[in-house]
Amino acid sequence: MLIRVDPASDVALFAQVAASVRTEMATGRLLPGNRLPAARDVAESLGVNLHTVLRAYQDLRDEGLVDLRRGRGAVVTDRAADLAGLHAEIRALGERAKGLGMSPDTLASLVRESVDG
Amino acid sequence: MEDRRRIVVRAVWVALVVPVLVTVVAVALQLAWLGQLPDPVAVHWGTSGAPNGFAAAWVVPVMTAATGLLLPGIMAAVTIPALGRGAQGATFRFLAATAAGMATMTAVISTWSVAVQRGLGDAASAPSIVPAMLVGLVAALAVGVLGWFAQPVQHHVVPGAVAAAPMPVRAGERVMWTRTATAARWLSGLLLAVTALNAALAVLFWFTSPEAAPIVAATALLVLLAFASTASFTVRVDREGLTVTSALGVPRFRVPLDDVVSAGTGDTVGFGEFGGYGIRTAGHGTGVILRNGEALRVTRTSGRQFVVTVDDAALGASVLQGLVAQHRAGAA
Repeated sequence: MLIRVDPASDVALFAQVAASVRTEMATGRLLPGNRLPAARDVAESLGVNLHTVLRAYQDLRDEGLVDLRRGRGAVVTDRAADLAGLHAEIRALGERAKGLGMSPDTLASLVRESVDG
Repeated sequence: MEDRRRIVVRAVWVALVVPVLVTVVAVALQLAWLGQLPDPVAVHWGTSGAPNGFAAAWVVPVMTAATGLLLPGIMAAVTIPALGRGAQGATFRFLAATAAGMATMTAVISTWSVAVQRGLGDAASAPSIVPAMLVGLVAALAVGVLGWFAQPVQHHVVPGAVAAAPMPVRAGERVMWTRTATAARWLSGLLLAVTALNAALAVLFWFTSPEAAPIVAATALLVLLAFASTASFTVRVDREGLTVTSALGVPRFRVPLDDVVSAGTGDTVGFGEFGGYGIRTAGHGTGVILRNGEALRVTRTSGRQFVVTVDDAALGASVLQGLVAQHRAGAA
């Protein structure tokens, strides 16, 4: 699995880690039952604080995407498959917005409003 | 492609046709002589040269068929399909020749041992087996050498890595890619079987010769540890470079970013490229080879390769290329 973070970005590091994991689920590279790498290893690899990674994993648990169990680490739940199911449509929407010259932020806020409304 | 066809056809002759023919002839002779043999016949000889093991006469042809076909059969099964898929190397040529030699040795020794017992009233008076073993060994060597030269030269194909397109990595950005590499099912099955056999052997020794039991048990444990340490590896690409760590923690291999000339992918046939599976060293580099097929290949500054069989290797190679580019841009 692939995790990337950019300390120069405005987005908090923990949110970037969580976003990377979600992308892996959406693209089907991370499947239900798979285990996330140990938070300590991810922190070491990326050179970020352990708590940053743990915070990301907790957020993913709160979203129901992973189970956190002592001794077993973070295991991907069946809900990850739902994310994968949306992947094609999200990609298509993104491509269309790009073709129209729309910024990612504009698209994101439109999606957010349509979900909230 | 004409070459590959010739290599496969000759390998079939040497590794399959010759062992089967030799074994069939040996078994036919032994069956034809069954009526002239004492019952039981001698089947084992002591160091003094006198027979010390006896069995019913039909046991010899059955054992000849089993040993003459089983091991050479395994060698043929390893060699021929791999060659058919395009793998090449001296290992394959050698293994095919060995199959022919081994079958010859079995056939000569067993048939000779039966031949000298024709017309004997009591198998205890059977002559020494030493001449049979010497002739068998010479015949095996001769057939093996013939088998080697009957096959075309096979150049060890060092698979080139197809360099991956580097994933764009911005300055300051941090990326990690990780994936578990596990042994092919047939390989872990084989390891399990050998481990079980070792354990059974240890138990057997416990009852039959207790003084040797600790040594056998220790060997079994050592083999188990060796297998456990090669069954599964974590492959990681990050700012440290490529790290491949056994599930047990050791052994661990690392290729730092500074040492990476290029990263890419290329299929491997472990048997042809490294002469086997597990942690392997060959002339062109080191490999953690747990199955055939897709592998991540890193060319190091020494010109040697580091190879690990892992799924999704293309992405890992692309990340590694991206990190190397970022590292060089930063260092420049």
